[in-house]
Amino acid sequence: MTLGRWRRLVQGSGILFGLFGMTGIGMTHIIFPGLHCYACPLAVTVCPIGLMQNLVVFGTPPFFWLGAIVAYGLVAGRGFCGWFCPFGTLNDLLSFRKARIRSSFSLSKYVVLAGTLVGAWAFADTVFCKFCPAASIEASLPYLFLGVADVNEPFLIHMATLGAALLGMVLISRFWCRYLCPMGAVLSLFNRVSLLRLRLDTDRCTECSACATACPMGIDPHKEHDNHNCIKCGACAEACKFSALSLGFGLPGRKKDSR
Amino acid sequence: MKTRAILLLLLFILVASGSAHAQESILDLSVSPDLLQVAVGGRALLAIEIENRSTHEADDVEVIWASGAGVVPEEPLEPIDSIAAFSDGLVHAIVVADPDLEAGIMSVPIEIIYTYCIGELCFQIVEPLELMIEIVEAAAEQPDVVVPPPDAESNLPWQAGSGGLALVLLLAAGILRRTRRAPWLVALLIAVVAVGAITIGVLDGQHEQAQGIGAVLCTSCVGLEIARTEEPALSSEGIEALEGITEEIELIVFSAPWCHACPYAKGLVALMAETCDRITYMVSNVDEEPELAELHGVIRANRTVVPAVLRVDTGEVVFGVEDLEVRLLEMFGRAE
Repeated sequence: MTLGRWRRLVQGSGILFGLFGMTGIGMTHIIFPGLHCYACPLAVTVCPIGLMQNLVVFGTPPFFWLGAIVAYGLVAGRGFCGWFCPFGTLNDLLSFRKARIRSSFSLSKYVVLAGTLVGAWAFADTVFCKFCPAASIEASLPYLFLGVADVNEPFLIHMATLGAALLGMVLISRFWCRYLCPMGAVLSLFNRVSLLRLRLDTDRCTECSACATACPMGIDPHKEHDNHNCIKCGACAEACKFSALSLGFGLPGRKKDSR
Repeated sequence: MKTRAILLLLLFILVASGSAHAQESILDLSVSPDLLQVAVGGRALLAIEIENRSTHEADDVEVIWASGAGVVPEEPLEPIDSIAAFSDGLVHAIVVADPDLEAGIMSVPIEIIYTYCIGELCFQIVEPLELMIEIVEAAAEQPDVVVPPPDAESNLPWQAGSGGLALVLLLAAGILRRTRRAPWLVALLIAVVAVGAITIGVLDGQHEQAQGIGAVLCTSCVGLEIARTEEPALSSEGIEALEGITEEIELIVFSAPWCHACPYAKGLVALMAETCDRITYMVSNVDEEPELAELHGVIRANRTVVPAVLRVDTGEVVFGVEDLEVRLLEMFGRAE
């Protein structure tokens, strides 16, 4: 089986895990390794960004949250964006244009992360959740059909942010993951030390840039294979005819990775 | 000149409207026990529970006792520096009854004084409270009365120390990563941080907190509606409709202390119960009594939804606070 098919399989399991509540299991203690609204009627896991805001509001030292995030970061870093996150999968499915835009714009997701924290602190509320497009799909729409919510101002705001995010995804591949996802921003901090790694064999690389063309995140894997934005989807490894790039688990900081 | 006058007028309207809003009380006060028994010349323990149901912080919360009340605190009461938005404060007082008092029920007026600010505007609120005290004959042996120790909610220095250690370990990992000398050590350090933080979190009950946050859906928290933080009020049509109720209606208001929309729902139901004596209600904290919500089916798709108002005899439930007055009247069969 190709890497791409493996990824679709794992992405499918990510969606199934996200919707595991259909089995009747209620909410568990598990923090989801991606952006997945805990208000989703079928969710059995806690949204890390929603929880993070609540911890700020309550003033709780975030040990449990931190431990889970560090563990996820160590295992795969942003690999969860590329392989597991249901909202990342939606980005993937709408990635028609693999646009390459100045990488410095991708720092905007850290601004969103900082804004999420400051918003929670300043307003003592989960401000980000009111705009989150994942919540639009997973909470606003289901609860409208369940008769708990109405078409009101917050609902329309959710639909507007969802519409904008979907439009962005169609125009720029992985738009949300690249520029706006606060969870992506958190996991990216671990990208260079995570066990799931993109390896580059410099002896085999011909610098043909086929990997850069294939990359949905708009980066040059043969130049920066441990970029903070890399979601380790393996599209570059599949595109490389010379097998210079490969995806696998290994200890961080191997010398042969660098160039 | 004309522009200046308009600006002054606008400023006046702004300040006046801000003041009108801000003069509202933001604290809910309750006393435990409802009727305090004190023996003549004896001592008793009183708890004043102060709930901040607004988005503003209440500062310098002080309990002032009327002089010459007959039942007074043994020692001056410590003021509370601040009560954060949507949180609680508690004042314990050991009160002493005057030996000259006669047996019977008496009320003692006290005042809760606090300030809160909206932007640059700060307001001092004086909230009166009546304490109901029953003076009983002195018993032969006086029971020992002590103030209970505060709940050990958080061990912040210990936790802060652990957090600092985690940070140091992460920094060490970053430095090691830079040097590229010992990659296995980097991974090991991060793993230690992860396991350590999860262990501390679980010991502190934070996994339960996370599960609780996920299991209860507050309608305003994920943006299903806007949290109404104004003082609840009934319309004239609503009052008229409530006055026409002839049947007994028992309600349960399901809420959570961290839910921004819940105080409005609680307040409106309380107002309805004040207006119509046929309506009785109780408030249930779903964090403390999840089984009650489960028993009454205040759950949608595996989530306990708050705020929710349940009519016990029919099992009908109204969620959220949007158009709450109208929807509750519909539930009572009193909508136009």
